[in-house]
Amino acid sequence: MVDQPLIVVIDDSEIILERIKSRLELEGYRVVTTAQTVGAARHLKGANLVIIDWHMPGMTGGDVLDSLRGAVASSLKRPDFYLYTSDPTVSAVAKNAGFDGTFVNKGDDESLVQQVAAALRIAKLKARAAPT
Amino acid sequence: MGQSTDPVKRSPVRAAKGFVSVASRLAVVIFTLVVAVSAAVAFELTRREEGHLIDSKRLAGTMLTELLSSSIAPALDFADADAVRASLEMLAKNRDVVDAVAWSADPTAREPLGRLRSGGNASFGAPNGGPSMVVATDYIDITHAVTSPVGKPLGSVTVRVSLAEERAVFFATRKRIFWLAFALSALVAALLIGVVRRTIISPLEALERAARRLSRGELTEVENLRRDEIGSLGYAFNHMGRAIREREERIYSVNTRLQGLLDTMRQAIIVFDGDGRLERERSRLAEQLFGSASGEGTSVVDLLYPTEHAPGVERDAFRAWLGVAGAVPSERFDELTELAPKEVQLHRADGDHRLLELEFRAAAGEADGRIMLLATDVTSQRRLERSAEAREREHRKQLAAMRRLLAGGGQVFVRFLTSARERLGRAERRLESQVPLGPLEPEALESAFRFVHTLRAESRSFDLGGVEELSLGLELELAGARHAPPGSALLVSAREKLRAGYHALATLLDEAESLFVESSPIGRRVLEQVTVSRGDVEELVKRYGMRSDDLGRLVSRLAARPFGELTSTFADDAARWAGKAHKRVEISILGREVLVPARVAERLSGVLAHLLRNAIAHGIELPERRVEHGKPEVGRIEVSCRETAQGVAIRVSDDGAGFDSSAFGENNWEAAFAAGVSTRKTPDELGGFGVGLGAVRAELKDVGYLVTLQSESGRGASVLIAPAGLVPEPLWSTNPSSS
Repeated sequence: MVDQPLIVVIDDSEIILERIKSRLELEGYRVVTTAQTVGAARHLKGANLVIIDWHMPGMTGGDVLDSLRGAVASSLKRPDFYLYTSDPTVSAVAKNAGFDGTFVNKGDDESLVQQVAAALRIAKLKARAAPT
Repeated sequence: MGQSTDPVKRSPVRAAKGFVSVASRLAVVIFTLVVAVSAAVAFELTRREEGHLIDSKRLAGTMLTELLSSSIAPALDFADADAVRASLEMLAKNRDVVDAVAWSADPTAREPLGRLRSGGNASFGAPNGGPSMVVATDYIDITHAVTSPVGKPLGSVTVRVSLAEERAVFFATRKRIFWLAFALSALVAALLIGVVRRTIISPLEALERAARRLSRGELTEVENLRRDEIGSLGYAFNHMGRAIREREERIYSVNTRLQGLLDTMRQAIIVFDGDGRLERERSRLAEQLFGSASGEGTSVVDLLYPTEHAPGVERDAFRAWLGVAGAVPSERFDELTELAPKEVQLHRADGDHRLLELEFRAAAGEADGRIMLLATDVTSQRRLERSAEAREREHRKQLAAMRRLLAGGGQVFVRFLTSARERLGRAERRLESQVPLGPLEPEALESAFRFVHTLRAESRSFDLGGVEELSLGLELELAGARHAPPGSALLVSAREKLRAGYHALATLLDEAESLFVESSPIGRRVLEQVTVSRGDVEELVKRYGMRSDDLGRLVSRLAARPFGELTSTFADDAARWAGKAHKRVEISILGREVLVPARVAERLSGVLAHLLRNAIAHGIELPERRVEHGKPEVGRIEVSCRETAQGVAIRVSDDGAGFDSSAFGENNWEAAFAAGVSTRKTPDELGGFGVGLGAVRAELKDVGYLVTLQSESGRGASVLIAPAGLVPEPLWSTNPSSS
């Protein structure tokens, strides 16, 4: 279990968090969820992937990303940050906001599982290509 | 002028600038050669002819000059110009003589003594000119010295004879010879062209046409082979054509076999290069699955992850993988398979979605970087799995709900079921009392509405999701029909939907009851449960339990406990005890509804738990040991209860190793009941102190029940608990019956 990727999910809906957590854990991932942006950075240690909802109360996903980045210690291995949204206009600004990519919310968990797997594969391929 | 259809004539070589036919080249060469040779021959011949003509004229002129010199000598001797002239004029009759002049021997003379033609060239002849002959183009000047008979030089005469006629003849002859040579050359050239065309060009053209047909894949041979080099070439061509055909047939056969192998695979197979471009090879299933989108050259990224359907991250991941996989040597390809996508949701052009499992392999071939994709359509399989999982989850959820109900007192649920069925029955009867095929009447509609509304709320409190959902649907249907005008079609359809809905509700209630019974350790007995005071029951038993009449029996039954209640924890206990002993056990309880008399039930729970522990500790072997003996890894224990005329009969049996007869002596089972006897060398939580069976027998003897053992070494053992008066019979086999 320790070798399984750690995924952190940040969304203001507990129902959505519960659903995503149960589905991803079914795939064997370790999952940490939080609806609170305050203090979310403590979950990032050892995380491989962080999924952030764009529409958070009082702030956007981009603001969340900035605060998380600032809070993550420079010594820590930086996880990949992915935006999770059904709004195509938001997807377009994800790259400019600093996200590593976007997960399209199609309303079904299977699609999210496939996209998470794809994002983790991209990370492994980048790590493989990086000079040692 | 249209384009020629003859492939030979349409040859790009022929169409290219500077193409010159072999025949033409030969013709030009031969023609030039023949003309040159003919010209040379003609020139030589005419030159000789000319020489002959000149020689003849020269000879004639010489003779004429000598005659003149002889005849003119006296005139010159006497310098008689008139005589000289007269002599010269004699020559005028000779039309070959153009001119003649006589010079005296006087070296100072500037003018000839006589001249045949006046006004002629003054340099014509010369005084004291020695004999000479000057051959010019049109004349010959023959100069002869004139001497006296004694040899005194008297002068010279020069006669110019014309060569015009000879020249004319010569040129005419030369011209004739030239044209003859030209005609001969042309004829030879034409003949040569014809022969070359017939013997070389036409066969070569035929060969060229045959080669083009062969290049198009047509079976062809050159016919009418000549017995020369061209024929030999044609023979070689035919041989080459046959060899190519055989090779093509072999290649076709191999390809057909390979394609057949591909087509029999249950996966859709495609091959693409390191850049992700599809190659020609694919299986038939791939053609069917991917359709026209899988043409040669198509991008495999676009095929699997079309932009309009696939999330960008999946496209990016596959593209990134492709970039690495296409560049890595084939012997290192397996390192990358873990990073390849395992599944994809394929969006077909017809709108259908298929779930494909993907397997990538390095394709063998001339170059690295070729990748083979084997895609298995698991849409139906996955749908079934998910459906089964969903049903299983729902079932577990329902079971959990039912257990909660049971834990909280199942009587409430039983009352709900009974009440719901009664109300459903009344609702159905009311519906059937309506006019056949007629609309729903207002009172019936309201009554039905109230029924489904209440049922919905009740079912929610019991977590009966299916009933709640169906009730809600009917409620909405009726709510809509409430406002419909009387007799409208909406009321007719509402009635039909209600009928179908009631039938479905009845089924759901039956399923809920079945689930409830399944969850209950006492089975269907749970449906008969009522809440009574323990004290009241004990008082009843005390007063009337010993009677042997109907009242006594009724009271006894009232105090009796369902066998399932005594064994309700056995499934969990068995799992726990087996886990501690590193064994695997499956337990089945039969006869859960059988009522066990109160006095027996009081003792039986502990006894059965003891026997179960014994079976696990002593009977069931370790999994690997069981496999060695050809048994399933999981041991089976059956705890069953039957009702007999004398009372209940209970058996605990297992398919383990049986009792170790060496501990007791052969068939000396009585010894097993002796205190201190144990087949375990070391005691542990499960067993081994050896006081168990004896205590069990004593415990039950007090209430009139006996305990007997049956065992077969290696196959299992049974412990039988039965009333003392029960006739022993081989009621069961020594092995647990399959449930």
